[in-house]
Amino acid sequence: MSNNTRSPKLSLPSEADLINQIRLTSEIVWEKKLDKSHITEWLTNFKGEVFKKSYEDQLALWLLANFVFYNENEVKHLCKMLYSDFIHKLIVEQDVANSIDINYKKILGRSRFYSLGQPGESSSYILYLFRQQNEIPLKKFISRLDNLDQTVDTIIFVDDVTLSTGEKSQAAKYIRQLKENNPSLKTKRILLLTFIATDDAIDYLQSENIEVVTCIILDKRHKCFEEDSMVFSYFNEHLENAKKFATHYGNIVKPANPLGHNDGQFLFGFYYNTPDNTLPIFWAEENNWIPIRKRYHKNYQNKLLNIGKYI
Amino acid sequence: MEIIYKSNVLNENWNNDIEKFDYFLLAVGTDLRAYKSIFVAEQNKIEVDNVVLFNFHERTESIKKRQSIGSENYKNLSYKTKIYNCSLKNPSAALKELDIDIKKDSQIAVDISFFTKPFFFTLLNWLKTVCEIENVTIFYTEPKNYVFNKGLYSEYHSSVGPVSIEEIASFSGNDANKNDSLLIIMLGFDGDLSAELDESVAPKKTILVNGFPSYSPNFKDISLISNEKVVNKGGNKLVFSRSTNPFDTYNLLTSIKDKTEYKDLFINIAPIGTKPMALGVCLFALHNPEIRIIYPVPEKFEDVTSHDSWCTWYYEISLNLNS
Amino acid sequence: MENTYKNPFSEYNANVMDNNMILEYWSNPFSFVEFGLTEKEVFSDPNPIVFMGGRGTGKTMFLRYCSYDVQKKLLSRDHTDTTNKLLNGAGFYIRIDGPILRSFEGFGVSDEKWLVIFTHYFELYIARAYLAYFHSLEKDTKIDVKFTKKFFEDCSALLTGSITSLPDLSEMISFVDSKITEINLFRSQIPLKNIEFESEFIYNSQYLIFGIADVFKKNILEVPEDFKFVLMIDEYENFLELQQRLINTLLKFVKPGITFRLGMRLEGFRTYDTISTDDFIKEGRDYRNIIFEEYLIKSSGYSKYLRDIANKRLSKIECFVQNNLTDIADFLGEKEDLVLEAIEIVGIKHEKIFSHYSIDNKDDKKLLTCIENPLLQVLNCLWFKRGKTSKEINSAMKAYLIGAADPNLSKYKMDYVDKYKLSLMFIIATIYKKDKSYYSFNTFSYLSSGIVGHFIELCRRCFQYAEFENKKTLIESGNIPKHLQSNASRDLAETELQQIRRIEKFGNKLYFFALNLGDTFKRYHRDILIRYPETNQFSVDKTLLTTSTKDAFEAAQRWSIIQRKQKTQQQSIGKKKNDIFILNRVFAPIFQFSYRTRGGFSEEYNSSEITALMEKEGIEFRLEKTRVKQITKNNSQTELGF
Repeated sequence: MSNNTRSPKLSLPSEADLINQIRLTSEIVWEKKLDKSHITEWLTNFKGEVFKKSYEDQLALWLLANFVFYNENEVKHLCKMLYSDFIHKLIVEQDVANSIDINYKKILGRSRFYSLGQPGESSSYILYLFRQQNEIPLKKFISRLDNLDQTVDTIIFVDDVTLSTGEKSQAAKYIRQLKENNPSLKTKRILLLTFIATDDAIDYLQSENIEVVTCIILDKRHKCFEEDSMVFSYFNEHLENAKKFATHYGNIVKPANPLGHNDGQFLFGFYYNTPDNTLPIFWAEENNWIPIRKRYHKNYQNKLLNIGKYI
Repeated sequence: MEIIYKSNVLNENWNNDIEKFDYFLLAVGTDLRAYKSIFVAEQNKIEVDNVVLFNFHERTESIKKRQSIGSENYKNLSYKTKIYNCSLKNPSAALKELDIDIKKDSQIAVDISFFTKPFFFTLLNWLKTVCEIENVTIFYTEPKNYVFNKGLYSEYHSSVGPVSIEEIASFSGNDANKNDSLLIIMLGFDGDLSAELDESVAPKKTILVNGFPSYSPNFKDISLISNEKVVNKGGNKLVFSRSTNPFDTYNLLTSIKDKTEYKDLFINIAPIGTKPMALGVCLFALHNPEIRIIYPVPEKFEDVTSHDSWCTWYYEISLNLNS
Repeated sequence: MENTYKNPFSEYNANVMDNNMILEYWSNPFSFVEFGLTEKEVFSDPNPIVFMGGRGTGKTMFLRYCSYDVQKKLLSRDHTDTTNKLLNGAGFYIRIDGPILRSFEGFGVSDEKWLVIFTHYFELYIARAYLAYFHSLEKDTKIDVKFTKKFFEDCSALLTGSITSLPDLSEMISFVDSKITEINLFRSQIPLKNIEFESEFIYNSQYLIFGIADVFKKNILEVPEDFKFVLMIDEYENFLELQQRLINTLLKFVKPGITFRLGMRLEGFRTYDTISTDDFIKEGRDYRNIIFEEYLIKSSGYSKYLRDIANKRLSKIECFVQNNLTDIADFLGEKEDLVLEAIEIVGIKHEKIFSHYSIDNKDDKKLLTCIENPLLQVLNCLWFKRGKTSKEINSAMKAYLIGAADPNLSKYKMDYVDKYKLSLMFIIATIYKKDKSYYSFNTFSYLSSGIVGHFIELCRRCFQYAEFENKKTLIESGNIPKHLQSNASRDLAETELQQIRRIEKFGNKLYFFALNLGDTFKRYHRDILIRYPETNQFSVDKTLLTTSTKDAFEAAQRWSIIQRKQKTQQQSIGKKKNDIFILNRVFAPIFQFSYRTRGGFSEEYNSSEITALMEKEGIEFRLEKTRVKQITKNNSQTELGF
């Protein structure tokens, strides 16, 4: 156990208080997916290798208490908000002489929705929900870009998270690739509708001529261990300890990205999956790690899932 | 009839079309957040003929204590300023005695950051009904963070001590020909209050509106945890509305009002969530005067419930339904 | 089967329930508790009755049950002859919420003017209720009632002065609604501008309330002579003083065929005056007072009543029904097991008990030890401190345990079983610095203090925690562990304590009051000499309190923070009679005091002491008020009197 870090004066809430808060969150938000046994099991991952076991448990529980889970109802609501924001953005640009109804029809007439990523990735699932929640005609959703109608001038991608910049931006990479394969795309207006985006990612994509419409903007306050972190605004003295703790155990499961992809340091997940920008101590399964929020990885290796003895 | 709403984050360069105001109304507050919008206006040389600062005597002590963090910075304004001393607890008396002559076609701005909700509700209705104002620009600066005692989310309190559930002055609504009530609560962080509201109105049905998306991702959970009792109460329904966009709230309330299952119910709304949501409620009530607005009025508001400033929003609102 | 689970106590309160649910969840308190009046009398008694009780005692449920709509549903469900029974009388459930009532004051309008407007409003409100009732009778094909032309003419004349202007009930209802709208419009406008209330018709008190009732009885032949309009006004404590004076006047001058039932919190009367300042209403003469809470707390049927309520809810959950878990005792246990609880706390550390009692002698310790029952060991120490020898005590203990004879056996048994058992448990908790657990159906019944709502909330939390802890176990075996029950009771106590601060006007005072009382009783329970076992009550002469303290004190009663014991009692043995109050038992888990009330001894407070208790936390003066009577023995050693 390390003795290098001084003991913070203000204690974190007690384990009992934290479990009580998590219990309430589980009941009301997490659709009761988490119960005491899950938490107890997850805490067994932490062996007191960095600090006293009891303090490590407190840190783990504090992080869990701050984990934001988006349940199905909330995701559906985000779909509606996203669409509403998209329409607002485009309507504002239209001719005020026309009625809103006419302008709306014009916008929809020349827009098409496309999945960001391969079929089977989360974007396709979200696109389905998006269409359903907003009752958008099916013909507005396309699976090919090489035979676009001439009247179409706007392509809209829909995804859940857009957090990275530069080379790590999967959205930019994917759209670039699409443009390479479909030159006509280069003359279209590109919009990315995403539930959650960082301010940096928005700026980066803007520089790539991709306009981002988002419901939730994350900035440096939402990165768990940044100086302005909202998670530790009251318990600032524990921030360094928590970072040390999360990094240590993160290294066990994801040595390349102990605090999440692209040093994400995020604390959120969706009912259907947890993004890899979130701290791996929540979702990793490597080295016998017990996750509390499972992540469904993309299988890029054509590995067959173990169906059973009889196929 | 649909309207394109105007809601935006105000940047340092005053990205707002309106460059002149006849009146700019704001409340003296306990930190710089109270004056952010007026100072941005000043920096960008926006013409403001009259600044009216509502100085509530209930805050005198706190304001004096917090001089070092800008509570009295309004004194540095170069605009013509009138300080109006009044009580926070009696908006009706304050407005009836307010000695300013606002003409019907005046350009008005109101910064609601440090007005209490009961006060700015009555203020906007007064502007509509007495001054016959049609449109107002509303400014609101969100706090950077909220104060949670002991770090636990169930320990947030916007007020201390006794509360009394009251109708907000001039928003009594009309319950004639309605046999039962619907209570719509915009959830805030102060969990005690929703229970008191529920108890007081004893509605037939209750709809809880959680601010989501919220200012910060986990705020949506904090409001639910804090209001656990009403959230878990049998029969209560949970819906969402964006915390920062009053027009979302307005649209939601319209959709609720139009539902057949609520047609025979007297609609009561309690705006104890964020200020933008409250603004949406206010707008809805101004357009639908049969709606009642109720509020848990505390004997004493907490002096400090938030830290620092974050974004400033502005909204263009039409006080009349058909304008 | 897990999918059929939901928390059976997820609260539905009486206001939310539709008429079917009221009947479904209804547990008739008259079947279990003796209230001093019969169920029939609730309808038939021509005199006004006031039902008093705190939040959650079941008043609203009760009044709604008695209303016409619910009674009609009940009769129809039970296939009883609706016609005859419904034409004996009709109950009208009336509830005007606090915010509306409070809006009838201020804004520069004089009290007198507001009274006129409110009177007009109240008359219209009741008139509307009557008209809605007539309308439902008219539409009901099972009830043969003819609304004659004369009836419509007389009603129309009453409302508008013209016999032809309102030819049917729909028109009358619309008319009344339009009058109520005028008032509501005035209430919305007066905060913004100084205007006068104007209306073509403004009704005086009694005009419509008694007038329409009269018209109905005179003109509808099918209505019997003794038909009663029973106006059940709930939450009377919300009415402002002037408004109460108006209604008090109606109570006082009630006419045959109309009567009132008021539901209110304790001390809900702001005034007993009527409109005429030299007249007032008096309990006994003008109305009968039934204090729900006091009957419920006192009654041996109360726990049966709670069990019935709980079991009805459990039987709605399919998985529990399938697993035969429909008795609340299956989940909570019937009673505490104090011996087991003591053993769990003490473990193998019996020595600590002796060091607390300063018993050092090895031989004494050996004789006083009782490993299988630490409660007896504490009792032994107590006896030792009170002068018995260790040999005598050991002999009495053995006699008790194996059923042998001993001169001290009878007293030993009485002390243990009847007098001190629970107190001994508190001592053990004190010595070992642990909290006493609060669990079991019996304990929860006590903790609820006559407030059904508290009992339901205790159960709700237990089930909530148990589900999180282990849903499978909850559904399959039912047993909710002791520690979860105790957590639930403590959490509810904390919530209720914090909620006190929100009470209008007196919140802070009452909060300190509860804290200080709780701390006082805690000290008694921690007294290892158990000089005053389970002391959790106090006495005060309310008439001597200052006005502001009395107001706050009555608010404490109104909100059931303190509860009066039903009859005045001797403050303590040998003292004069006075009102005795207990701190609501729901707070017991925070302050670690007994959930029962032993009687016998009470803290005594005068006016300034009550005022001080409400001022701030940590009032110390009460510690100086020692109660120990010293007895001098022949050998000049003093000892404590039993």
